[in-house]
Amino acid sequence: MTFQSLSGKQAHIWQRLSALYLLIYLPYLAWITLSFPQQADLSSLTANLLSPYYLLPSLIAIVLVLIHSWVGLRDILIDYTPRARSLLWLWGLRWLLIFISINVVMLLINLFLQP
Amino acid sequence: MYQHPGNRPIFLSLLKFRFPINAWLSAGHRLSGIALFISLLGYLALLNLILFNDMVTLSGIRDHWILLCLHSAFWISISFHWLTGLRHLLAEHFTQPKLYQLINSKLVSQTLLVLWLLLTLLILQEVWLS
Repeated sequence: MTFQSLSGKQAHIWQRLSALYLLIYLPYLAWITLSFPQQADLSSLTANLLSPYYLLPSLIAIVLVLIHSWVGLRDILIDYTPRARSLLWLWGLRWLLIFISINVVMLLINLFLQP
Repeated sequence: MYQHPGNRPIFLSLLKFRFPINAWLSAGHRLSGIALFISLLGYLALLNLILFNDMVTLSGIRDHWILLCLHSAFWISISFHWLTGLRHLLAEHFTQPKLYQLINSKLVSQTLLVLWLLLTLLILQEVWLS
């Protein structure tokens, strides 16, 4: 990764697209959370998470949250970290997001395999 | 990508400046974004614990203060981020001078803050008292 390889226009477009989706998804998430029974156990939570009405919009939201986070945090790092260390911070952020993505996939597989 | 030729960042005492309310909202949007990212890491760690550690159960930690703090931080940050993000999107979409000025007006910013405070009270009530 170099400074030259970091795009401004593409990042802006992805940031806006993800923001538009999350603008609609987040009230939906709040509504689902409020309507979910408070004393639910893991199996009913899993059943709820894996229902088709929730799963597909949420999977799209997870991917877009990761993209939104990358662009937002990337811009903050570029703006505020000392120039000599910016690339190091950006690499750190990139690896953190890759680690989070792998972990999310692992968790989803585990949730699917729950009895 | 544009690169500033100087040695940045130059530290400036932010307390010496008088920022307009929109600048505070813009900075708050970034800060709430960072808070959201940290709280999402918290949720991820929690989900890992519940799924991979038999000693941690959902029913066992439901009312734990750490989880309630996490819920509060997440929903309060996300409500601020959502409201200020909506204002950003509207300002980018409606570029006609009158509408743009209205979206960026002090009144809209103050209304946004009042709305957020009301939402914060609602969130705290839902998380801690219900």
